[in-house]
Amino acid sequence: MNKLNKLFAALLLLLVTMFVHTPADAEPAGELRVGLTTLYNQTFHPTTASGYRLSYMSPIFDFIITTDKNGEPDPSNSLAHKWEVSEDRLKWTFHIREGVKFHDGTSLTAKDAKFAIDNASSKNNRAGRKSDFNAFVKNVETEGDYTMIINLNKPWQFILYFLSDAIGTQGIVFPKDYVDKHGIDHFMKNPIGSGPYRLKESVARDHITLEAAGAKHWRVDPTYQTITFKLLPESGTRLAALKTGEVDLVQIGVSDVSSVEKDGFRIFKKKNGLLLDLSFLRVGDKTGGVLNDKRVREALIKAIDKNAIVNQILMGNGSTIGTTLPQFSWAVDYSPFPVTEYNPDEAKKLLAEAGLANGFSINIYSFVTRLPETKLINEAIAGYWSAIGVEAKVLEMAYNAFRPVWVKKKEVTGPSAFLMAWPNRTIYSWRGKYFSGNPFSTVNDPELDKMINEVEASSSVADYKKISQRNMKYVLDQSFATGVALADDLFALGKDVPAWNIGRNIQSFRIEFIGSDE
Amino acid sequence: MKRFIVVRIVQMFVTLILLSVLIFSLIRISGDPAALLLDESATEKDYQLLRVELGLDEPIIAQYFKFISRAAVGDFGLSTNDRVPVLISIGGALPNTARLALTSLVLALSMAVPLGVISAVKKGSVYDHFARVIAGLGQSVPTFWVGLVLIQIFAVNFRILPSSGMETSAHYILPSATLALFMMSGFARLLRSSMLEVLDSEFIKLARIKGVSESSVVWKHALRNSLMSVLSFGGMYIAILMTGTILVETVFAWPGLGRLAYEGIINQDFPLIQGVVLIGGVIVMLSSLLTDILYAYLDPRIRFSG
Amino acid sequence: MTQPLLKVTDLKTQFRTKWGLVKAVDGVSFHVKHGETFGIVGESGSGKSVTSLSIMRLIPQPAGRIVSGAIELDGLNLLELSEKEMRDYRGGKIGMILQDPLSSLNPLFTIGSQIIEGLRIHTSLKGRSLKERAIDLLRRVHIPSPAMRMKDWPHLLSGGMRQRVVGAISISCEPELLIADEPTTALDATIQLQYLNLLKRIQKETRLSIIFVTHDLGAVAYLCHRAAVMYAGRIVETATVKDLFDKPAHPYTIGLLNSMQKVEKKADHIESIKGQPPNLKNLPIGCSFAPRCDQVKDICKEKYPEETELGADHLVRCWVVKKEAVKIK
Ligand SMILES: Nc1ncnc2c1ncn2[C@@H]1O[C@H](COP(=O)(O)OP(=O)(O)OP(=O)(O)O)[C@@H](O)[C@H]1O
Ligand code: SF4
Ligand SMILES: [Mg+2]
Repeated sequence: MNKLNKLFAALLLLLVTMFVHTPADAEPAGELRVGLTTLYNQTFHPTTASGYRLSYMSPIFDFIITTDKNGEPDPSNSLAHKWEVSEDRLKWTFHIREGVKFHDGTSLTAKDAKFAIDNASSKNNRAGRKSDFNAFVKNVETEGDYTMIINLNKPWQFILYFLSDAIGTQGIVFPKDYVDKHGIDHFMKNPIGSGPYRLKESVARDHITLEAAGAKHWRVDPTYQTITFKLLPESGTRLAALKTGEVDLVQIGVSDVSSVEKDGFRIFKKKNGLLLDLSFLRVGDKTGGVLNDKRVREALIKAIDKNAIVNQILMGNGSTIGTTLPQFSWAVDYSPFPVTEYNPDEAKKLLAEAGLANGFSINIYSFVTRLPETKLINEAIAGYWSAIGVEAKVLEMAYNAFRPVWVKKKEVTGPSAFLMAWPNRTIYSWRGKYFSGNPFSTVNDPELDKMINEVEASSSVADYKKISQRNMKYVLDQSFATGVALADDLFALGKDVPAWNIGRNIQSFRIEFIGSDE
Repeated sequence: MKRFIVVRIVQMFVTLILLSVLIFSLIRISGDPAALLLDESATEKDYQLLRVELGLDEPIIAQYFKFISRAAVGDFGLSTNDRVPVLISIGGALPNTARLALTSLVLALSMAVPLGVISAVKKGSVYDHFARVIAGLGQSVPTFWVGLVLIQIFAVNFRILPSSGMETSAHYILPSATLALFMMSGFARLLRSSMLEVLDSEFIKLARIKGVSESSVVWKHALRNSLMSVLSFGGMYIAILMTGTILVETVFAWPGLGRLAYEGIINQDFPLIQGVVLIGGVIVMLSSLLTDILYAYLDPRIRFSG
Repeated sequence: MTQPLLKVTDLKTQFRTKWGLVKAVDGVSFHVKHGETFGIVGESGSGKSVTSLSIMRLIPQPAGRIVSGAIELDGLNLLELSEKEMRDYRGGKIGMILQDPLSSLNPLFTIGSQIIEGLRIHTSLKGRSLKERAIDLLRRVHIPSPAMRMKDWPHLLSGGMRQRVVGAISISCEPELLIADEPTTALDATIQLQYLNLLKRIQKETRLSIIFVTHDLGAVAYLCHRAAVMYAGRIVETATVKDLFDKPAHPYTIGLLNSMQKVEKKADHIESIKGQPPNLKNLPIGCSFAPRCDQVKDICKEKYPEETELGADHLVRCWVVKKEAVKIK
């Protein structure tokens, strides 16, 4: 009876909201409060800090290129409403949308767009991808107020993605005159953008409040009068705040799902938001040791039961995967690679062939970045390995303690592996991860170096995909690394928050689109 | 007294110098901000450039002298993470921590005094056992957990208090109660044992012999003496208070010094860590000096020792 | 025959401890006349302080308890008063001086305020006259420049001075009975004598009665009119000071006197009474002194000796003495 009543009331409410809440021409109203695990450093300059700030910056700013929900460039939503590329693919011409105004009323023009790219190429860029901008961009010119020309040193297949919201904050356009006049330091705390919301207040380590910049916006009309991002680092506190109604939307972990659902909140997923990828360290180097034997690497990968990890540790909030590198599971559609089979017997046989029937010992560097369950998965992997006679030691540490090991400033103490939870993304630098001698590279293999040079020389996205496909096959055949699983980014929604299209960008949840989706 | 203060201040400087050397070298041994800030497509050359930019390429002694000579004039540099002057970040966070710490302290004392005094007076009674269980709980149950339980009860179940943040005075209640519970236990225990000692002393007997009422014996003669011995541990309690604050700030998303330090460590933000540790150190040392001066002032045996 | 000021009858005070019941005072009876100084002597642990504190009803609770007996002051049984009524007696009709001058004063209050505190409770004095009375008291215990001392903190005074202040407090409200529990043990010899003289003078001036508790027979001889000798929670002999010194009857008293004389004669070795002091938790059935007594008879180990009256005001508990007394009669 009671349940029926509730159901009826909910239906009624739904009907009422459908009639009252017509997204098309509603004034912005009410408040949306979002609980985040970190607010990063609460500075709003696009390139002085991490691109992960997109969660609260994407409503404030517009991008040269905006991607659609599938992660593809969408001119109708981009500041560059049209673009052309020269025959030799070295000159890109972007036509900037007219009539777009910054929050202080000044017009957004091509020189502001050029300013964004100059910042991304500058040595002060802390948002990432500086090396790519430096390698590819020769210079940027403007022609009149609404045309920007980018001249490249060599063809850059992914230029559109690098100017978009897909990979970070580098594609954000912000007012050059304003920054010139007030200085970078001022802009970091008092930003002006052209997005549907503007910054109202930012209290360090507490909250960020945005307010609707107007009733209408060319990209998306603001739904809410204010959006507040609250810092709630502790997961218990975060859930409590949701339950008390202090926030309407929070990031949650796999282990919170059942409790949140029991309390009547909806779970909302950014499907496959994370790629869990297992790499061996220093393959091909002297310190690689037994890992330099392909059979050993293959054995270690075959010993892992990926299905069990997804079902028992991620509790079904994800899927198994065959490839490594996030781009293969994300926006760009590659033909899928099969998931490596779980075959411990085969693994033992391979070890025996390699003369290691009695096993050996290996370290697993274990740290948590984005997925708290990483720790458990590392322990599970250690268990699988010991099942085939390999003694695996899990070294718990903070991520920042692992980074020096990864970039080869600290030596490994023997054969080593690590599991990293990557935010899934359109592009990932082959050179960064696999080119011999690069700081973050895990492999030293001249063959692969050659292949990476080839993929970088590709002139089109199609070409790039084809060569990438071949490279990935090589990486997997050589068992240099393996993807373990894809995990979903999980959110819990308060009762009034409608589901929305969360997109496929790193760390941007497209929060400005809540309540206004098609 | 003057001599005492001068000696203490000199000691403070020596401690600060040692602290600065320690923190400076510890963070450099344990981490590498260039490795952390480097983006994943970077080359070895990018890494080297970044080190130059962060001033990490210079010999460590030179780095230290640069740092300490600037710190001496109050310049802790810019945070490597967000380029905000460290002093400004600290200036924003410190008052929040101070407010939380002070309310908790007042709350802790106002709980601990009745608890400790009555349990000493009624030693061995049911009340004493009850009070000791409460005090024991406050110290053995993790503060983190206490915070979450309080949130569950007062914010989630009864909906009478906010769970996190610091907008209104109602926001102070749960975090300061959590911290106060932690502090209270120590105070109550110390107060109980020193009350027991004082109540057994000859001057309490004399007061009773004079016909002074029992309540006056306890609350005037005995408590004053016991509070002095609590105050003599002031410095230690300030350090405990600071530690407690860091935990409570995490649970209740309180934007204070503790969270700032935590972020500094996560981001390997050397200037920020150095600033927070040194300024935190100065504050702990200054306030413990102040309690010592207060103690000396309140205790005639020290104040009038010629 | 006039009524004595204080009459203690069959007082029993016991402590419950981890190790068992301690019969600290076990059937003590004595009286103190008006204007008399009455001594209580005995070894350490014999129950002198417990007797004194019982009179004040300040036995530490809840371990200690007055089990039975009567303590009558001017015919009124103090044990029947309520706690509040008893408070009027403490510091009022009965004053007390504790043993340890160094720690008897509250270190956080001035001398003046500690004297005035008692005056406020027991007299109707107010304001200036309170202060004047306090200064006058300090003067009477021979504290130099008393007005200035009022504002002093206890730690600034010497031990002797502090004991004088405690003395001033104890007589501040003109008590009829003053209990001085070893008031001089902690002081050095010259100051001890000064202090005894002070007590003597106060006693003369105010005609109050004093119970003087001590180890020291010499002080008893100097100060007291009558005295009781305590052993293991009981009084074994009561007599005038003259009788006690001239005709000691109880073997324990005799032992005490002998050891005192040896000290005075500066003998090579001090011969104290042989044997171990009694263990209150485990007393022998008969005479508690039996294990150390050189005249012990069979009966001594079976029955506690009855009281024998040897003369006016001379009472003793000893089987041997009793037998002889009966013989003489
Ligand atoms: N608070 C107490 N709890 C337990 N036992 C006590 C307590 N106070 C006194 N006693 C016991 O009572 C007995 C008599 O003690 P009391 O202090 O009266 O001795 P005393 O004759 O005054 O000795 P002293 O010359 O050392 O002062 C001792 O055995 C002592 O152990
Ligand atoms: S009764 Fe016996 S044991 Fe006791 S004192 Fe007299 S003679 Fe000695
Ligand atoms: Mg005594």
